[in-house]
Amino acid sequence: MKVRIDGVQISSISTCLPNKVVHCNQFSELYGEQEVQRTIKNTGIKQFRAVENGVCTSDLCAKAAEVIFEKGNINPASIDGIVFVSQTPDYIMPATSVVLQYRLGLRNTTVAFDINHGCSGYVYGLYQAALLISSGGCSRILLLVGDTSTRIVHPQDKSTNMLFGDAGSATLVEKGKENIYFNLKTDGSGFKHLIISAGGFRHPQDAETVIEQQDENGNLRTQHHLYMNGMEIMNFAMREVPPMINELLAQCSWNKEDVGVFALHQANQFVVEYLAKKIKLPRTSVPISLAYTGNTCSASIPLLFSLEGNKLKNDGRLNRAILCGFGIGLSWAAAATSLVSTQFFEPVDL
Amino acid sequence: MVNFETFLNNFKNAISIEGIELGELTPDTTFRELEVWDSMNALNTLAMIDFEYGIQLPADELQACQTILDIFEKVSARVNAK
Repeated sequence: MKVRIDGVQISSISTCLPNKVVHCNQFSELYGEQEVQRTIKNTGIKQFRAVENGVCTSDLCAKAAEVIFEKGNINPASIDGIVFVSQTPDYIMPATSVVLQYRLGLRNTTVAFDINHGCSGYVYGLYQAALLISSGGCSRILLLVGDTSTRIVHPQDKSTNMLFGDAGSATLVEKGKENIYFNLKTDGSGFKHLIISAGGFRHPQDAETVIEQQDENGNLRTQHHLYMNGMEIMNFAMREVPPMINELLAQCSWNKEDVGVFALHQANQFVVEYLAKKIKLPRTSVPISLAYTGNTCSASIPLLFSLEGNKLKNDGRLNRAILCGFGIGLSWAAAATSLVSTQFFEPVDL
Repeated sequence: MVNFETFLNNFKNAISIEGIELGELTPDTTFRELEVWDSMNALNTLAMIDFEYGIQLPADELQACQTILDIFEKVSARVNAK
């Protein structure tokens, strides 16, 4: 689906990280020094943040929202819509956005709902926020996006345990002078490549789903832990991301040389660099910001802007920005807009 | 037409690790037994195939390969079918 939505702007972005640091070097005990160093070199991930038990994505997002209220001088009563995007909600039900409406003291005329998406989730969330505004129903949307992936990864699964970090974000989307181009796609035939298969209604928890099993590579997990087929996900990214970026550039009539920043989902350094090479993007316009935070799933794009946004602004790179998330589903989505007037807040800790 | 010598060269470049001798690679080399072979080199191989040949080799097809010739044949088949 391709569309341009007018009269909306991304006013501010803030993020929150749990303060516990996990150094990937710690895994040397489990896998050997050489193996771990090779992994770090390939992924670019030296460390990541992990929540303590009981801390949820909503807690990280709520703190990020408070930053927007306090430092951005925004009255919570002026918010008329809240969208929460995550694969790690507080409860099976009710929706976390509804609980956050209460926690953040928003009016009860606020529209609130969740979107259950992962790495494509930030762009999906922006799209949803833009739709709420362009419908005429809302003027100011609080978009809360994040994940606590460290809580769903098995500690002895080498295919995932050195990749994912936790983060929450808050983005203020409101009526304004900008426009945003969107391109969103879906391929559910790949649903098994990145999945937690048990604990829903297809495979409810039972005596078998909780058994730890070793796969053919020696990785340990239960059916309640994240499973990722790294090779299939890599193939998917290589196949689908370049055509989507090129389509989006055509939608906007932008040349890639005129785009100041391509904010790609920070899956790992290898895939981001490969995509930059394949699409022939100038390396300076493809930031890599995951060395100390890892793959933060749905939060990776807002976290990139929280970390690098002010520098990108000073370098004059935000006039034309492309954002692209891709992953679980399979789902992938890209947006093009100006972020020249966006306020970026550096990450705060929880 | 996919040339085997070029393919072998591309494959060597994809999987090389500094400080580890590759040794002589032939069509019959069982690549999984190479010291350099690991899950990262599986990804490097898929990326090389995508970049050099414009196709994605499905993970289960790579899993089914035992020798370098096996990979070459699967890549050739997909390139010819394009």
